[in-house]
Amino acid sequence: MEAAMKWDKQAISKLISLIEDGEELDYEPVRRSRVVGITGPPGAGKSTLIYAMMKMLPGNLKLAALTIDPTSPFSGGSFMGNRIRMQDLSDHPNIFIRSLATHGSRGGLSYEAISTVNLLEHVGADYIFLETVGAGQVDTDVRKIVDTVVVLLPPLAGDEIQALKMGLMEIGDIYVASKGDSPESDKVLLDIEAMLRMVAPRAWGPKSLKVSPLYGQGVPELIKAIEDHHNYLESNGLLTNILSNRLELMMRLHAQALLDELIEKSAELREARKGSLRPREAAARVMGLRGPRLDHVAVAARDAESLIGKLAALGIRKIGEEVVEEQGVKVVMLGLSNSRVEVLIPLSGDSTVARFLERREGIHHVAILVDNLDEFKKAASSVGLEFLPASSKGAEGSRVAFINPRGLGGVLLEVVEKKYEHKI
Amino acid sequence: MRRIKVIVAKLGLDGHDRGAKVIARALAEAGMDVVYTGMRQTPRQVVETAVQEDADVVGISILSGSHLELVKEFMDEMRRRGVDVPVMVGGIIPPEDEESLRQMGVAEVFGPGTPLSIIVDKVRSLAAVRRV
Repeated sequence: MEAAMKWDKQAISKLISLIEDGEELDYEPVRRSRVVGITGPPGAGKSTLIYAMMKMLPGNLKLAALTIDPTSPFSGGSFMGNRIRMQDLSDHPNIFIRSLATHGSRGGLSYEAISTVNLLEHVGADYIFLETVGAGQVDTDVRKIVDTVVVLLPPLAGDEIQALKMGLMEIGDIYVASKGDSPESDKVLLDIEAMLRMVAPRAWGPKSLKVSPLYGQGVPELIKAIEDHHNYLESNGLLTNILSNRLELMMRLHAQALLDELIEKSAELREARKGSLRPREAAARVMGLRGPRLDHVAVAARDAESLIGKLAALGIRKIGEEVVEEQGVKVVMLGLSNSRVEVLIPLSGDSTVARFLERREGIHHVAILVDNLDEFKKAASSVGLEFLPASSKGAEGSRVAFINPRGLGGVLLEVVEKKYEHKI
Repeated sequence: MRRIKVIVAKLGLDGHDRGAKVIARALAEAGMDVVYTGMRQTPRQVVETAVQEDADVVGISILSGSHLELVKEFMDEMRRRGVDVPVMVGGIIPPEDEESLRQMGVAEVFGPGTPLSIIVDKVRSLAAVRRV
């Protein structure tokens, strides 16, 4: 990392490979670069435009280009040709270019790509150009993670109806008609301007212009527009928010990857494919949102404070507490992944928990969540289980019932139906 | 896990890249990440590309007949830059030049008619050695 901070390209390159290998680098992400996303349909001229901008920017600035190419869903391989348009600059000491493959990520951006942007920013790039895969209308994630989105539209790519479609035409801060040496590009610029007049005015009115990167025309104006947009973001304090967006998107992308893995391995997937479980139900079950599942384990201890302290030292920390007057008990909740421990502390000597503690310490009851309490009760009665005449209203509209431990191996089982927990 | 990354490059004044593209496609279809540099590259540009892409293997295609000069310059630049990546050379390479190229440090030389499957296998084994 030390060498990378001095813009040692070999070191930066190795760090990006570590990111691609799934390693987390140890540093605090910062904001110091102008991060520009270049998007538009394939063949719009994105790589060539990045080349033209990098060539025109002052040579003492550190410039990075990150170009993303699609991965084959069949072979898993990628043919990456974006560099071709920039190769002229590949041996410039201040310029770093890296090709990344999408590797199956949705929306065209991968966890690794965002992580690489953070790294390039950390090692001191003045500008980072992120060239997206050019998937067009779905390629909108880029908007959240870069400072300025440049949408590039080539001539003869469709009539003005294309410009009216949602998605790509909403994400741009700057709209650029590319291949400006073609007479058709004037028509593209007119379509863009007509479209921009139709949308509701925003704090930053999207700019539009025409470029011809091969002849250098329009490129200084584009760089100026990017500068202006960056100053607008900076003076409105919007730059740090973009870092938060990146971290959020990384979390979401990784969660999606984990979920895909979970689905792949699940029995629910096979059931859904057979048709024996409705797809909606199967999806909720795979995520642990449906079917009987552990809600919490309640324990009672004579020295509750000491128990809570020791569990906290083990990573099971307090997440809340609640006084339940009618039970004469204070409940301290400790978080487990997907569940919790509840420590019951009696408020008076005649509460049920106090009487429990006179006999012994330990697990007081186990609580499970069910989808439908009435159905559960019917099923429980049919196998001869009895319910205790305890109060049946829980927090936030949830309903609870207790099963008599005598019929259940001595375990006091609380059954909870939560309303509005998750919509499925 | 990162996929095998290969640079396919055309060195020098040589305007024929059908062969290089066929090989690049074959490697991508074999599940690798292939960066194609395009034509008329200088040795330095390709070495810098290998550095910035952290390539596992560099494949150079030359049909112009200047392979001895260009590959020598390329290998010198690799050493000067401290880049330790296996290099393969393909194209119109007379069999009598093969030994000279190997002397320069080239790992594999492929003449016309080499089956794509052999090239794919060689790239895999060279990359595997480098990743250890």
